[in-house]
Amino acid sequence: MRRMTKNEPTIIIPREEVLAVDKVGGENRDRDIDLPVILEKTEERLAELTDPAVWEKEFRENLEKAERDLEFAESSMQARIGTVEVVGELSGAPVTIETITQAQAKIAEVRENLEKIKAMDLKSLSASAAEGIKVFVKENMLSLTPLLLGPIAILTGGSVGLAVRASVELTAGMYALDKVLDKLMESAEEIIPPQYLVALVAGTTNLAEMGASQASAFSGDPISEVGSTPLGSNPTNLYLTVFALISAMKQRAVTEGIVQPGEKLGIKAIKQVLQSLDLKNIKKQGGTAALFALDAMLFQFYVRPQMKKGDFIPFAAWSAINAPIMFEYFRRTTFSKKTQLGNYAERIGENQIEQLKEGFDENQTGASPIFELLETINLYQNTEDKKERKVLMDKLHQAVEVLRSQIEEDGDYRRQLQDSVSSAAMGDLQKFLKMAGVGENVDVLRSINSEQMDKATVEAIQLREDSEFEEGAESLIKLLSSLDSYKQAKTKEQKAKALQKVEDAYYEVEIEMDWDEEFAKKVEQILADEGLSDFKSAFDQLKTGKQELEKVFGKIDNLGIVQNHNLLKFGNNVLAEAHRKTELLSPFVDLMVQVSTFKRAKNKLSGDALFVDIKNRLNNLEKRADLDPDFAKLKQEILAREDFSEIQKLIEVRLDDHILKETLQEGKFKDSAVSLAGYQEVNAELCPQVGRLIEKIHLLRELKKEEKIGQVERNLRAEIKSMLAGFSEKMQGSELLEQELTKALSSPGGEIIPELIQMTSEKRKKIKHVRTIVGGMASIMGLSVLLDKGVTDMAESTKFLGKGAAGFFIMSFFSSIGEYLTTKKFFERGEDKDAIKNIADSNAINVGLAKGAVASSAIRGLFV
Amino acid sequence: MTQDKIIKQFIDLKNSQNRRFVELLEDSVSFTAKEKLFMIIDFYKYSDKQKEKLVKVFENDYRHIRNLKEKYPDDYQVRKKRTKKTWAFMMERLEEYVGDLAKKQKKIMDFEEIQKLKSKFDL
Repeated sequence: MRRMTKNEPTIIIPREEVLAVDKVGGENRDRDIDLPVILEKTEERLAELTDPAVWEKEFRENLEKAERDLEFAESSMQARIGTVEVVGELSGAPVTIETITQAQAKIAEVRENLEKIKAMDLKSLSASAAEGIKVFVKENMLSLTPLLLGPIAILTGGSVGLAVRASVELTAGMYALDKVLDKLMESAEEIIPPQYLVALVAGTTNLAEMGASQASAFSGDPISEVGSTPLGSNPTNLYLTVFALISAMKQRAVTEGIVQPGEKLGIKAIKQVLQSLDLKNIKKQGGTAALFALDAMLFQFYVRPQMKKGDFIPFAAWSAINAPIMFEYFRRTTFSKKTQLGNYAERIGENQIEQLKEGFDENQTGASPIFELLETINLYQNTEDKKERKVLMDKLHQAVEVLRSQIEEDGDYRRQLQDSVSSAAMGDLQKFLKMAGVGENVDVLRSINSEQMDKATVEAIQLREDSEFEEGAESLIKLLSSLDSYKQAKTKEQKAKALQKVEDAYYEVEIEMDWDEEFAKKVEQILADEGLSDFKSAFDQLKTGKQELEKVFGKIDNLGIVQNHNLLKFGNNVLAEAHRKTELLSPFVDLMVQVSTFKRAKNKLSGDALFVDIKNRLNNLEKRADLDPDFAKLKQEILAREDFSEIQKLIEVRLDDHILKETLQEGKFKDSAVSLAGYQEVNAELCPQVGRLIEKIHLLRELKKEEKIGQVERNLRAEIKSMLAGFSEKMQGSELLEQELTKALSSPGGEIIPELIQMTSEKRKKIKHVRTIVGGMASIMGLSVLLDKGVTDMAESTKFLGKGAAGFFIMSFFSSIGEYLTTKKFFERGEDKDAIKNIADSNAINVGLAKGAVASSAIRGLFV
Repeated sequence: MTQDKIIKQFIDLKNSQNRRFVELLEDSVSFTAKEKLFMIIDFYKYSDKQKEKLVKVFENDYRHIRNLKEKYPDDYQVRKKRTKKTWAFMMERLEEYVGDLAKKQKKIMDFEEIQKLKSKFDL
């Protein structure tokens, strides 16, 4: 290092530039603006926001902006990676390439989330959002807060434009999240236990927060990071719980029956609602949440400053201590079966226990486990001592296990218990048993009492003695032995194989019963034996399963000659039509291939060649449409779809090279590519399969005519069954496939196919729930990104925010809005424990996320 | 300009390649102000080869950003303004600090002071 001399060049930071910067947003900083003007502006904006079109436009603009931001963020990442590769550090903190790679993965994650938001139905979302504005204005002061940003921005000298955008993002995000949570909770309850739901939702909202905060921080904007820091949210989550309770008050009063819907909430009602709170659990869970908040503050105010001084030991210690605590927390509260049993047992009302006791006779054989369990529940509910409760929890677990094995052994007992708790009044007990896995997942075919199995086998062997029933009895013995091997089967594959054998054996028995009335009577006699009730239920289940399938095949069998003829004709038509459409689609497919190659073209030369080719193809599309009416029709049909609008645009501008090139470069062709692939799948794959299905149906009918029953027919049936199930799954997977396939199947003669598909999809409801949950999770993540984006804009829009504790406080609040809404929902439903557990979970997850944040913070250059 | 003096203590700007380093870095919208300042302060630590490579990294960044600037001029302007603003803010704080030093009648900072300076610029 050496000292400078007078003549050396210097870097001059021109003062006027600094001043110019200070004037950014100058017009908005004009303190002369009157309050009435501000209010008028807010009012105007509110009026605008009741228009769905405005919403949709702004939604799209925001998404586009977020995408552009990501491009800058990626570029910034590249520069940072380059720097780290050269000097191994950034902002004085050492950084490894691994942490950068993780950070890049986060950007990719955020990008994916953006795609998911884009894939959402923005039209209906906008309509709901516009409607929501009206509702929010009337009912929910808290949700109005974002709308107050405009005035705040003006008063604090910030940008009104940005503030308005932030308002839109926040209000729309909050409204949409509210709706998504509603749906999610509704669907999730059907198939997953609530304790997982709480952890799942808490996890999903937080992960998005993390991803978004990192991505925005990478784009080099320090201010955006502050509010989204996971640890900042922990203390915030606590006061946010109070807000959640306040805003849930009214709905809660309705749920508890304190006021009628529409009735005003008075002081007395509020008191009653407060009295209805489950204070014991709120204290317990709240304490845990507070501990995690303290943990977060310990990091913020001790560990982090130490790190700044270069001392990483406190951080290592903090991480080492936190990891097992978090693990233990989730193990105990979410994954421990015993704790969950305790939690559920606590909710069961006394009258439910009494009612169940009445349903059973204490002296009844095998009834003791039920009484034992109810007794333990009662004890558990009335014990305050922690140690005793722990012992009772173990006892509860044992009692449940005993009851479960009893139930799996005894079908009558199981039915009796299921009937006793089936009414709505027994809901809590029903939930408890469901959670404990009692009766819910018992497979009737696997739970046949061994004594009954032996007894039935003896009877079948006796029946075989009679030469008249020899064959029938043989098939009955086969069924029994196949049921036995199904019971013994351990792995999934073994089970599936054994079940197939059970079904086959059952069909044989049934055919024998059809064939021989006397044999049928004998079987009925055996089934009527009271000591064989398990076997009877198994038989009934097999019968129902077969009947359902029979309906499908009955429909096929009952086709009249004309219908059959039409079906065959339809099959030929579908094949021909699909073939023709596939051929007509090919120019579009080729065009899309060239367009995407153009977008990725590495050099100018290949880019130019591709451009000429694309131009020719576009011209050819028009020419061919002029010459070939079929093609013209398909072209019109395709281009009328919204997702093909970018291709339509290409055709429109094809004559102007400059605009065409611009459109090609800027256009987003993903939607068109996806839809085109859908069209192709229907025409090139699914329609030919429909043709094959019809061939098989025809073959089955021919076999029936000749009364050739046996293995061939069974195989054919199995093939038809699986093909139909395949279609139904495909149709559920994509709306476009559903529309197009239904259209292809709707011409005369083919009506039966959609009906058959429908009949095969009995699992449809469950699949729908799973889809809603997966979609819901994706939407929550996506919406949290949108909300975080809103927070960033809000931070930028005002001078007041982003500086000092007050800004940090408010920003953290908005970045935790997902948690707020979830907690509010649980309060409204009267599930206080889950409401607070959501916060405790969220805080625990935040502590974990903070560790990840520290790793990537080195790249951001903000933490250390 | 006091901030010139302090920066000059660390950067030998006589060499035109080094000037390029500072100009490119100062102009970049990809780094935070704090990152930039740290790189300038640490400049003396870098070997010639590292300096050369860093200039290449910055040039690449410049090209990337230039493309984005053409693609999204408005977004670029916002970022540019923000970068200028934070850099100016950083320089102001630097000036204050140097002002304090001047009061103490010290012209050259020692190692300890450089460390102090580094910890002071924690946005």
